[in-house]
Amino acid sequence: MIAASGGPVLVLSAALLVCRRANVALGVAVLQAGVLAVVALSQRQYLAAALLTLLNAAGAGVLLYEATPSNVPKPRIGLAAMLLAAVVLAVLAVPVSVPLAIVLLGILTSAASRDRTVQVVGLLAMQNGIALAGIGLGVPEQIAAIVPVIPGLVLAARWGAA
Amino acid sequence: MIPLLLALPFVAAGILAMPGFSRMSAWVDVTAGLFGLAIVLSFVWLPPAPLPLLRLDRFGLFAAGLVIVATLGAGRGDGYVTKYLALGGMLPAVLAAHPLLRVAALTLSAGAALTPFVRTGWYRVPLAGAGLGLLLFGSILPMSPIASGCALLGMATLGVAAPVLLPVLPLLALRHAGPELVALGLAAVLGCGGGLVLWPVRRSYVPWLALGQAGVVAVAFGLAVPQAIFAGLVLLTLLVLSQAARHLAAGDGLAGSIASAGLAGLPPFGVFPGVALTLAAVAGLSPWLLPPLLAGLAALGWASIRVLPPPRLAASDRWSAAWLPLLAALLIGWCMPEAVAAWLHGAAMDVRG
Repeated sequence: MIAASGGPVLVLSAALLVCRRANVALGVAVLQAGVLAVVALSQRQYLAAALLTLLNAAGAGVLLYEATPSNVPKPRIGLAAMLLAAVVLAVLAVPVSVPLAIVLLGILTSAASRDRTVQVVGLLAMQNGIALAGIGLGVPEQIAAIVPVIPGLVLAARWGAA
Repeated sequence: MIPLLLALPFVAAGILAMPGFSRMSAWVDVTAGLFGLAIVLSFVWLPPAPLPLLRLDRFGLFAAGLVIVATLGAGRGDGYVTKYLALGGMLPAVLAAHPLLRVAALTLSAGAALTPFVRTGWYRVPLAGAGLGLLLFGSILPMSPIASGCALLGMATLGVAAPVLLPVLPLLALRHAGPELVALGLAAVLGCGGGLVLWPVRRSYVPWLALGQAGVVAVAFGLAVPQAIFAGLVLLTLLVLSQAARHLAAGDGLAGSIASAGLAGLPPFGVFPGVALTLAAVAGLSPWLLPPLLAGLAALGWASIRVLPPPRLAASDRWSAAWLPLLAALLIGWCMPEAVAAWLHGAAMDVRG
């Protein structure tokens, strides 16, 4: 069930890799958190859905949007190399677990960019993968522990960019 | 008493943050550390009642004592308050009985450790975020090789991003003892040894030495046998004492040189007795691990000889607080009392809870 509903979340993780502008990447990550909240609702995990909407989608989106630069920094690796790495990661990780593939793609997004906002957006996508794993296991306290990790990094990114 | 123990590093950080305290003698740090150790020792003699969410068995108390010793060395140099807070956060992390409480404490600890790097050294922040994420992912999954691999990789990444946490992270890795931990430990020893031989950078060799020795500890813990875990605990104690001495030693005097040589595993100082004990345990349990371990250790020693400053007596050596952990390391390494050894064996038996 989670593997099937994790499909759209995985696709959005892959889409993050081809975003060149930080504000577009941020929009994709916020959309991903929204999709995840819907998945949580469908699993009747209301606390998880509320936290994901408030912190990962709305909170992180608003905070990071203000710090998003207007220029487009050159990525560390080219698009072709990044897509190749993404395909290799997905092929290796998806059969093991969809959330693991989302976590790894998030780390790749973060590592491949020079822009601080995109680096934090990559971690936000990674956290969405961890939250998907937590929703799959069905323990609400796990979601409560998972969600606050990244807002701290978002604040750090804002602070560092100020 | 337990809240006092958990609050001690934070109280110390608050006091040290006051104007003027940063220039105080290192003996103030040592006194605060000894006070914390006295509290831990009182728990050893008078075991407290069980508490929910905290494990106060012999292993938990050993870990708490080790974190306090690691805090000893953190009070010197730039960003000392955040280092205190970072190591203070490790106390609830090592005492936590629930994996999520452990990760939450570790998150706070890493946040404090990374504060000085937000403006300069930003690359450490996403690196630590990725490490915490992997650790969290591995912690929420049911026990499996994938879960252990993610958690261990996360800890290693976190250790590289926040080196101040490095000496105490192996205590958390113990819960994932197995072949994954052995492989990670071997990779750390060989990687740090090879890296230091190829790129001998004198400015930053100490964290890499500590990471290499933590790799040897990880190999011992990964074997998951009380005899090897005991050797790993002794090595980790000597590593933390040597690193505390390195931080407490002012400048490049004799005490600092001895502490650095001890970190590198050069006989007879610092971690050397612990390394010998670990190698003996490895030789008895998995002899095929000896050649790569010896190669990594030889590389660490060789690289250290090339970059270590020549030992010379300085004026700062006379009343240096660094002599205390150096002496403690010599005593623990070469003539550990029977009662302490028996208690440490008990702690090694308690690891699995």
